[in-house]
Amino acid sequence: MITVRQLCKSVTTGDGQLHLLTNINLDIADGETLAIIGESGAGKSTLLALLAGLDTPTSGQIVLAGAEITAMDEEQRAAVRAAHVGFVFQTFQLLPALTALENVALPLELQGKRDAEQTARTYLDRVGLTPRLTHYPRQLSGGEQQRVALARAFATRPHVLFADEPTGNLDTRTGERIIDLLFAMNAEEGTTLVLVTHEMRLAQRCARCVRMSAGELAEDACA
Amino acid sequence: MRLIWKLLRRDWRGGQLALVAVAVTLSVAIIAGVALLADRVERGLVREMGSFLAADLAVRSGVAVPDAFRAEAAAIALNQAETAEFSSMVFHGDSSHLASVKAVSPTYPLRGQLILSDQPFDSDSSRYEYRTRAPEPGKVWVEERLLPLLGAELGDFIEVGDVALQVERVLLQEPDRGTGLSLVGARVMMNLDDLASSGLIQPGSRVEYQLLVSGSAAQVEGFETWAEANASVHQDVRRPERAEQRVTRTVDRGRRYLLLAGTVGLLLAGVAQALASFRYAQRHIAEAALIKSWGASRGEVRRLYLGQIALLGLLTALVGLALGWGLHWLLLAAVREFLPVELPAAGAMPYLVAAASGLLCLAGFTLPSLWHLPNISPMRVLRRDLDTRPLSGVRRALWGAATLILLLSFYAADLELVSGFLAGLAAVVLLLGLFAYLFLYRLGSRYGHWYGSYWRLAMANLLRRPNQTSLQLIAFSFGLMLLLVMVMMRTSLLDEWRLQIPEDAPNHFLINVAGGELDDINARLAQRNLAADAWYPMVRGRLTHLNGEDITERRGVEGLRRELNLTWSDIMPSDNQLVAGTWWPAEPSDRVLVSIEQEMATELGAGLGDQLTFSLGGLELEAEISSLRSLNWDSMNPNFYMIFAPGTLDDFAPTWITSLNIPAAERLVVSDILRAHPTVLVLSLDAVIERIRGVIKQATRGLEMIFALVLGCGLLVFYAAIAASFEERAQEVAILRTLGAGQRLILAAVAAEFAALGALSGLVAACASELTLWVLQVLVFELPLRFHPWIWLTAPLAGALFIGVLGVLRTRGLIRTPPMQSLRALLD
Repeated sequence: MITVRQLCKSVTTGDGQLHLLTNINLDIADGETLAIIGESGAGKSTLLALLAGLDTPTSGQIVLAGAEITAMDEEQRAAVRAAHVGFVFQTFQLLPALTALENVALPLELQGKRDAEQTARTYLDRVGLTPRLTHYPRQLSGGEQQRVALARAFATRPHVLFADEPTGNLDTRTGERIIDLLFAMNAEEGTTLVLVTHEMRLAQRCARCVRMSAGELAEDACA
Repeated sequence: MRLIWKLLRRDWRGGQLALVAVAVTLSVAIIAGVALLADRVERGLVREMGSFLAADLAVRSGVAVPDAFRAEAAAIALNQAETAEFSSMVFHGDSSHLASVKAVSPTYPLRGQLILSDQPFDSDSSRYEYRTRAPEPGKVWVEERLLPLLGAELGDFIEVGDVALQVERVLLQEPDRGTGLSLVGARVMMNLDDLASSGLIQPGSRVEYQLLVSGSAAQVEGFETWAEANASVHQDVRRPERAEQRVTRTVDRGRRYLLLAGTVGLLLAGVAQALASFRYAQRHIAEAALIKSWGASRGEVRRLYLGQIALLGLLTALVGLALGWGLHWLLLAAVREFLPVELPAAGAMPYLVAAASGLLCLAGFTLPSLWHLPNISPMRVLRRDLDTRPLSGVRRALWGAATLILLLSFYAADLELVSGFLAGLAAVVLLLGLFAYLFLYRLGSRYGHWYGSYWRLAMANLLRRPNQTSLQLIAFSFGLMLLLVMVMMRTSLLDEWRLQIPEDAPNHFLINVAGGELDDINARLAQRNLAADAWYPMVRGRLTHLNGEDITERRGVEGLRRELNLTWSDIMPSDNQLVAGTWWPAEPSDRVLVSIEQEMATELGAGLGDQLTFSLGGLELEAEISSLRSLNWDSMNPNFYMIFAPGTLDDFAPTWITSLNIPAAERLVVSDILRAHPTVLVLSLDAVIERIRGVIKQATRGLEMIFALVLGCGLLVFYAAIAASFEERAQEVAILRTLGAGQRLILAAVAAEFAALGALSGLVAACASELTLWVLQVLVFELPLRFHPWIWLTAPLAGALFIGVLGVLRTRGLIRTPPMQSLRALLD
């Protein structure tokens, strides 16, 4: 369960205060799939970062997996992320010096999992990349790289998966395949999914949609 | 730990750590090599120099050496030998000679060798014999000039006091004879056991006794401390370093050059490390952000990177130590001929210092670059434009400087000087780097459009990245400057060493020549196309009073221990320099004036205007100090502590002295002169000269090897500096290629860019190295100051050429890579 109350985020610019988010209130149930949609600059990614504990709000409260992350320091938030959160990024964020297998195994190794490599193999197999285990990111296509990223995100079995424009760098067809895979895995794992996108087709795959507009949030019909 | 190991292995495989690792390995190898070499050779050298004293330490005494000294030496298990030296008449038939007799115990010499021949005046050294034992009782070894003087041959018996001893061999060299001129008679070496029966030593006889000892450094040091504390006015404790100052100075300069080479190597490796680490850190920003987004805490990220660096440090230190160990063997092989057969093993210290240096290098040069990684916001996974705020360049430079000073404190004795030198160096390079950048900026903006598009592109590249350009400019300047300093110090040192004993250096002294014999001796020399350098009159006298105070009992003043050779001259010897006062006044003075050697004046506490009293053959002479001189003790010419004004010693019958070069083929002239003038003394310096040349030759070889290694470090800096802008350059090249730029245009622009950087760096380096050399030559190596006009031209040219070529070579691969591939690699 994620609970957001009176969340505001503003930054100081040369022209004064710029309000990125204003009085956001949101509840996301366990296992729910939520799409955050909106135009560029509407504040979608800012909200995602705050929900995931990657950034701190100006005011307001966020409770993630029972922990009030807005009352925590960076170290405590990091511990919550380690225990409950997974990410998928638009730019894949794979480490170029590591093979596909090593990229997936790394977060497991950081958690001290002894069977990191075996788990990584299993998840890479699930995304259909067994023949590509020892390939480096530069040797993989965009779609393959995002599949590695998906395997990495699910391998740690997070309670909540945050996905930021996961198809933004992919062509339509490849993007659809990735989304199919994302939702399939999400269903299998029972993970709560928070997806930021500006594509309605993608948003429609989620059970619920909210729309960001000029830093404010409104429920949307995903239509 | 397993994870750290895994990450390190992956980083290594990705090629991101290679440069850092090579830099650390090289710095550890250099320090280990230099420190091991210094440690072992220094021990060996002290032992080798011990041969100039025939021992590790000698207690000289005007009376029989007290038993307490022998007992103490025995108590700490030192090897012992004894000598007694005195003048005595020796006879053969009707002939006689006042010989310089040396009675030695069977274990003499403890260090070095005696060189003997079974044929007088034999110049073929392959027939010489080398011994480390005294003559048997009943036998003597004599200096070759004694044979014509006594009309004796090998196998004959000569009378030494009450005993007749058989002349067994010609004595060519004894290790502790030195080059002093105190040896008046031809040497006769006998066994100490024959001394008592000879009845030569009576109460009141003038005898110089020596107790010689050898052993480990600790034993000798312990004995030295005890002996110094228990020596009376009659005893003088001598270490080998004092016995042969000429060799000591050569070795000392060699050691200083090694230290300088080590420092420069370390500095270069440090700069390479700093550059490579910064790039390594840049490439790990995304990784650190990602890891943090997965929930790793700041502490965990820090531990992760610290662990990797520590592990890298340990591994590279081990490899570096192994390489250093190998290097020191290579260096030893190069100088083997000169070294004693058995070199003492190195202690643990060089290994510890080298390994600690490597780890400290990492801490000082690499950690500052990585310091910000744990603080990187995990938000960067979403926003790549987020500021990553690395430690500022100034702070990193300060860390580097502090590390270097700490490192130097490990193995540099002269920490203050080296630190000051480095601080000055850094300031000069930074200032000049700034100046050069401004110059570049002006040049680029004002004249850039005059040239083709490649030049504009090159200038644009340089100016678009002011931070990186400045960094590269400083790195290139620094590297070039240090290499220039090394080249020039090496050249200067080698030249100076070669000049120290030129091929035609005097190798013989003619002493005790009466005024009436000068013409005949000069004629005999002329017959063989030889000539004496200059004849100096000489009177022997003892310094007794300073400003009326009796100073004969003062200890620690070399000139008070024995009679001095006094001379007079109207012109100052060419290799002397006036330090204070004036040479003889133009108008005659009724005062007796004397010029004194400055170090002796310091030891005496005497200055201009002070009165010195001399005892010359029982007569007193009072003289006023009118000038102070410095001497070149390295020269093979007669040197005098005291030079009087012409005419002041007229009342004291002088003998004459000169030095000259007698080639091996003309050595029979010595025999001629001795037969015609039996009272003349001839001292041969051939063996000493050969030994010094040997030291210089070997030391030169060692220096060349160290220099090659430092050059390798310099290359590493250049490579690291070029690699520092590699990512941006790859992007530029890819974009230019995408836009249709030809290979030739891009390569020309890169060549122009790096050549301009290289030329400016060369200019900066020339200026900075000239200043640095001034400090080094004058303050550290005590060499004459020289200006090096050629570097002002060659350094910029070499910089432009070398760095231009390196830049092109490094960039060529990028041009061949398809642009999309480059761009994708960068997006990763």
